[in-house]
Amino acid sequence: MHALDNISLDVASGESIGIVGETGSGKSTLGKTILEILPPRTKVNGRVLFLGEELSQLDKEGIRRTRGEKIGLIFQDPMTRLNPLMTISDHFVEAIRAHQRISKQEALWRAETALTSMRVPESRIHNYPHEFSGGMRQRIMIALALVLNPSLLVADEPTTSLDVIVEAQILEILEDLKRTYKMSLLLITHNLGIVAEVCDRVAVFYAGKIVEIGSVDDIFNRPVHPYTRLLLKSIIHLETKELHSIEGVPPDLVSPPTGCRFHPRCPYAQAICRETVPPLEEFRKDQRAACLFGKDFL
Amino acid sequence: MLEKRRTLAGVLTWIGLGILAAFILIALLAPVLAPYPAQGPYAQFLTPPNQAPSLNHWMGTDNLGQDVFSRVLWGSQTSLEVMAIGVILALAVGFPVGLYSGYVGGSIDRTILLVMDSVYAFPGLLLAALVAAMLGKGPFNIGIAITVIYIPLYYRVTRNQTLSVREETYIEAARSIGARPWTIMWLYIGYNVLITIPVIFALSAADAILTAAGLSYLGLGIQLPTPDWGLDLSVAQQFLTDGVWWTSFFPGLMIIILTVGLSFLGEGLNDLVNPLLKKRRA
Amino acid sequence: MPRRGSLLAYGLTRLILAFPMLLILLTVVFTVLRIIPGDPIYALYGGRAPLSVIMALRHRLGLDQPYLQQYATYMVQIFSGNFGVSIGAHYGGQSVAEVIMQKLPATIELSIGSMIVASTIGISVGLISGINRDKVVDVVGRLYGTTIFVIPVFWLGLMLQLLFAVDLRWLPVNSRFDISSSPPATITGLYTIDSLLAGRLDLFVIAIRHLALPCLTLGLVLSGFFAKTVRANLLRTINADYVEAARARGIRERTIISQYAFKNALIPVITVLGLQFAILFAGAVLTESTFNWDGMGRLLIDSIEVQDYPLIQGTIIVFSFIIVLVSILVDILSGVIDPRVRY
Repeated sequence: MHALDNISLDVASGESIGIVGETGSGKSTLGKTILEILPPRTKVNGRVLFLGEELSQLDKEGIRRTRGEKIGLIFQDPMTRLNPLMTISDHFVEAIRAHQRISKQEALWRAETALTSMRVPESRIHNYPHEFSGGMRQRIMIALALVLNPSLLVADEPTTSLDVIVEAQILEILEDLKRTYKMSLLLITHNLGIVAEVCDRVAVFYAGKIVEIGSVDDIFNRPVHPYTRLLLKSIIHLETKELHSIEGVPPDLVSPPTGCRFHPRCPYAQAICRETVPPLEEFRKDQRAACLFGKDFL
Repeated sequence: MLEKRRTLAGVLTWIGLGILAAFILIALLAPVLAPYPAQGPYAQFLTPPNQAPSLNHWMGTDNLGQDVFSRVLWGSQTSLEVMAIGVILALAVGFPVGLYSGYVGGSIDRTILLVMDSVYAFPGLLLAALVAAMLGKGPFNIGIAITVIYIPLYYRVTRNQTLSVREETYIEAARSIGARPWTIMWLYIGYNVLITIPVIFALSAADAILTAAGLSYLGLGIQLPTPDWGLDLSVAQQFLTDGVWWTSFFPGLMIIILTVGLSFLGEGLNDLVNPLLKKRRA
Repeated sequence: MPRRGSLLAYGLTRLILAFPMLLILLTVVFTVLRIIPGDPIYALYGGRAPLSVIMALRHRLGLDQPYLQQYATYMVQIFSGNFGVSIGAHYGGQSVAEVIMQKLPATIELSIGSMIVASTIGISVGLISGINRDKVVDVVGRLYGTTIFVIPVFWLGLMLQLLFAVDLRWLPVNSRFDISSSPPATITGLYTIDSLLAGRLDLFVIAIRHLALPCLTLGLVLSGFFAKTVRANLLRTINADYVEAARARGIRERTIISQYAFKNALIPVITVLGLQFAILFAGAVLTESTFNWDGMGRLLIDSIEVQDYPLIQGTIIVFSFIIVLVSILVDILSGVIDPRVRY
């Protein structure tokens, strides 16, 4: 089974790109692939170039050093992501000292700074994870990721399990980071709304492939691929009078549909869509889509 | 992955069942299978005592000249008898009490639970030894002693299952159509809790064999001259330093094979039953 | 740092909650010994002594009083430390409490030694099994865990005696000490500790040599539980979310296994440890018989054989106390290790 098929992405320094897709589209796997924390028997074909260095060529220690320090990763479910036996300060000190040789005091000081910037009271640094709420824990996780100053932050569904108010706070923090630290952000989510707020560019995933990629402005206002268009139509606004959804279910990746993987659910599908795999074509400047009839949707 | 695990569970169950069936057969056919009598004047001093295994005596002879192989075969009768009495009676008491306790809830439930948990925490062998000492020796009394220590286990398992089944919608439905509590308890809940019993049955049976053997070994269980694996082991101990290994090796081996078989059966059933339970709840 | 204050409160709570359990155990013992049919005095002397003697003995032991009164006396006596006087052949006339205190250290020594063996072997096997899931090492480990637990401890003892004492002659066959030497002066009653305290390394070696086989026997059988439980829990924690998150931060794999996976895997093991002590005692009784170990187990069996009723009662009561004590300690230990338990 191929979780991801033929993905090619580039993220510029200071840029934030959103990865959008349904469950099973392969988007979570992307984040884990970059840092090589996939389940044991997964095979990876391809290259990840980071700041000119090829990650796939690194040895075990090299990968370890990249993780956290150069590329950070925040996960979806903050409730289970912290070691219940370690205090928050333990987490920070351990993370920092796994990469840099500084004293415990210095590490603690940095931890406190990071926590304060995330609006987590630094007096609670010696508490255990179970003493914090979900929203707090996610902020702690972000602080933990940031304290090492990575150049790229991969955020895998960072706000999915949080309520909207906390979500708004987290998004604000992410925007802030982009502005202040020029940090690159790879935001993985199924929520188009937060992508619109935070990201510069968007890549839409379907069944393990990129079906459309371009700037947020282009994708949201002038989508090309039928899937993107249907996704946008299904977003609920205040003015929504009718509920739209996409017919059918995401395909089984063990035996995906032939040709264009979206063809079973596409209202515009033709016979040729079943036979030919559409390549990613540039339909506008810096906007590419994988549809054989893309021209008709401009 | 899931299929692989389920067939492994299936394999274990079949092996366990096979071993159990084999032992039941041996117990039933002991009179026919045993080449020599296992006790009594015609059994003793057939050959010089403590002879190593030979063609005539596959497992050698014991200190009274009795054929070890025959004693081992006959011993299966006593073991299975004690185990059966103990475990079946424990089930007969523990199951209804657990059902009632779990269904009724409240302070009655909590009291019974406290008592059962305390007994459960006590070393089984010691309690059984105590009861056996008071009741006297012999297979039936040992069976009772074993019953006492397994009642809490059956109680616990039944009660836990009852607690989870109690909240299911079909129970509510039964109540709303006016079914009497007794009916609900037995027909609806009891019937569904029953599925977990075979697993516990097998596992406690394994433990019961060990406990019964232990009791006999300590001299509190089966008495001479009845053939019994634990008993024979305690006799064999005296001659160990003379290098007589067969009188202890073979009876012990029988205990191990039967216990391992029952244990496999229990674990195999457990792996098979658990997914069913989860599916039902989903 | 764990908050000392709440740990104390937690400990006290566990202590108080254990009290009802102790009372129930004592009541159960009382029920079995006095209410279940089978008068011990008749059994002991029936037909061999005149009725008046039997009646006098029964009166002295308070067996002719109504049950409730007996129960009250029983409880009062226990909590004031009066366990009565032995009436059996071996220890007749001696205070039960004294006899028990003489024999208790042997059982404690055996229990601690066995637990050390069991946990070391068991946890190691479980750890190696868990880390190498589904490889040959794991299959062997799983088989070990399942089968060793059901081997009768007395059979294993006999086999080990055969191998190491009779055939190879590396270790003594049984008992706590060499007949030719005398054990160290009693401070704790544990020969190993006492010989070290007395500075006698030669006595220490003798004690260890005698301790080896019994502890190995009981320890091996108990290790199965540790192996199975540690493995099962390790498999769970090794794939835990916080492990994945730690890896994503670039924490070393070695640290992840030890600090994240392993430590978290041990918590449920400790919780169930208390239950293991009950099995330990049962095993200790059997082991003491096999190795002629002069401890509480032997004492119990001997007193049952001669129907030394006060001694039987006393031994069982002491066992009950120890079990409850151990369960309290295990609860507290859980609280020390797992911060979530304290609140």
